[in-house]
Amino acid sequence: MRAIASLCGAMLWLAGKLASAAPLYALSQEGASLAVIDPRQDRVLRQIAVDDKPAMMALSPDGARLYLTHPDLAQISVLDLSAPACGRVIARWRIDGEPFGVAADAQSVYVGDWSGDRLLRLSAMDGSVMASAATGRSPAGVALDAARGRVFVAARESARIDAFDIAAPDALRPLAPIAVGLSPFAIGVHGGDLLVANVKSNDFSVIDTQALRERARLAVGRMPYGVGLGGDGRRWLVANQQSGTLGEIDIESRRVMRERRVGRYPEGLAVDRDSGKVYVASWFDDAIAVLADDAPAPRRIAVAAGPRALLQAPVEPRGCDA
Amino acid sequence: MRTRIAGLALLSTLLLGHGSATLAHGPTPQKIAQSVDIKAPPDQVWAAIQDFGGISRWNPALSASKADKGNEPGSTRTLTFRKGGDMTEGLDAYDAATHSYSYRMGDENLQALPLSSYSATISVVAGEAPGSSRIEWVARGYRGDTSNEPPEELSDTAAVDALSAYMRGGLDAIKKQLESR
Repeated sequence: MRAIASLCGAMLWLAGKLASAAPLYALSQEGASLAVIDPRQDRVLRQIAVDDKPAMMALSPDGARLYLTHPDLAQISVLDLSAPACGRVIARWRIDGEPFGVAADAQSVYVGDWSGDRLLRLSAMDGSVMASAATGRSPAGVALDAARGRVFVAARESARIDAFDIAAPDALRPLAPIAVGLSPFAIGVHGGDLLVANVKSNDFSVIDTQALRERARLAVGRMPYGVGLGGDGRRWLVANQQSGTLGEIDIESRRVMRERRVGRYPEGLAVDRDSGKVYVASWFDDAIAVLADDAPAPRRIAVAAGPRALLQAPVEPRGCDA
Repeated sequence: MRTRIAGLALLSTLLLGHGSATLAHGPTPQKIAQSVDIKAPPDQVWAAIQDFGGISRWNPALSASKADKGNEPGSTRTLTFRKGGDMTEGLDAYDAATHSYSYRMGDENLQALPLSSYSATISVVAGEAPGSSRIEWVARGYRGDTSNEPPEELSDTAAVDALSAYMRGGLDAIKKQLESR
C-alpha cells in the first residue's frame, strides 16, 4: 500500500516535471519564424522557418497540431509538432479571404476572414469549409470556450464580440453579440470569462461566456493588445502596446495593482503554467520579454523580427527537443 | 456565393475609394524608426519640440499645425501638409519629465501619408557626448490599403518610405535649427 502511494507520488512528481517543460511557441510575423522556447531555461530551443507573414496561431487540444494564419497569402499552414515531424508543415489550406484570428478543437478550426467579415469553421482533417457565418466588421481575435461549446470573435470595427454555438459539428449558430469598448482586438477565454482588449478606448472588457454579458469594463494602459490570466488565477493581465507595459488587475477588487515595463510595443502574452512567469511578445524589440514575479526588470529572449503571438503547449512534445 | 462576395467588395471599393479608415489592420504592421543626434542639451531640444500643436514649426512637410487642447492627453492636432491635405493625430501620453510624448493617427488621408493607421512616440534622450542629445522617433503602422493586393503607392514599402521621409525631414530640420543658433 505504502509502495503504491509512493509510486503514485513519484508519478505525480514526474508528471509535474513533464508539465513544467511544456514549451512556449512564439510566432514572428515579419521574420516568418516560430521559436520554441524552454521556460525552464528561458532560451530558444529551435527556430522553425514557416511561410510568409504568419499572423496568429492556434494549437489542437492535444498539442500535436499548430495552425498558423497567413492573411497576405490567404493560407493556413498546418504544422505537425509531434516527433518525428517536429514542426514540419504537413498541409497548406487555401482560404478564400484574409485569415487572421484562429482557434481550434479536435474536430474543427475556426478562422476569421478579416476582409470578408465572417467566421469559417473548417474540418481539422482537411481544411474543408463546414460552415460560414457573418460577423461584425474586421474580425480580429478568435477564441474558443470548449467547456461551453462556444466560439467568440472580436469584431474590431463594430466594437462588439460575436458569439457562436458550435454544438452541431457542421454549423456556427449565431448567439447575441456583446457590445464592448472601441476596437476590440485580442481576446482569450480564461475560466468562465472572455477577456477582451479594446485598443482604441484603452480599456479591458470581461464577458461572462455563459450569460453573454459584459460584467466589467476597466480602464487600462494605452492600446491594450494582449490578454491573459496570471497570479495563480487571481489576476487579469493586459499588455498595453503604446504604454510598453504589462498591467496586472486584481480580479477580486478589479483594480490595476501594478503596471510593469515590458519593452516597445508589446502584444500577445502567455503565462508558464509551472512557474507563473509571464512571456510577452515585444514586437518592436524582436524579443520575448520574460517577467518573473520577483525580478525587477524583464529578461529578453531574442527571436525573429516582429513577434506578435505567443502560446504554451498543453504538454511536452516528446522526442523533438532532447 | 463567391461571385456575390466579389461583387460586394467591388461595390464597396467604388463607394468608399481606397481603404476606408475602418478596414485597417489585417496585414503586417510595419516598424518605422528614425533618430538624430544634436549638439544641444536635452532640455533645449525638448523645448523646441515639446509643443504638440507646434510641429509645423520644425517639420518642413507641414505648412500649419494646431492642437485643440495643447499638451493635454486627448488633445487632437490638425496637420496641414505643404503638398495639400489635412490629417489629425490624437495625443495619448505626454511626459515632460522624461521628454517624451505618444500619439496615434486620427482620420487617415492617404494623399498626405499612405498609412491606414499608426501610433508613434517621440523622445529626447541624452546623447553620448556631454551636452548633446538624441531624438528618437518610433512608429508602428499599417499600409494604406490593407487588402491582399494593394497598389504600389499603398503598399507596405510605400507606407514605411513615406513616414520615414516625413520623420527624417523633421529631424534634420530641427538639428539644423538648433545647431545653427
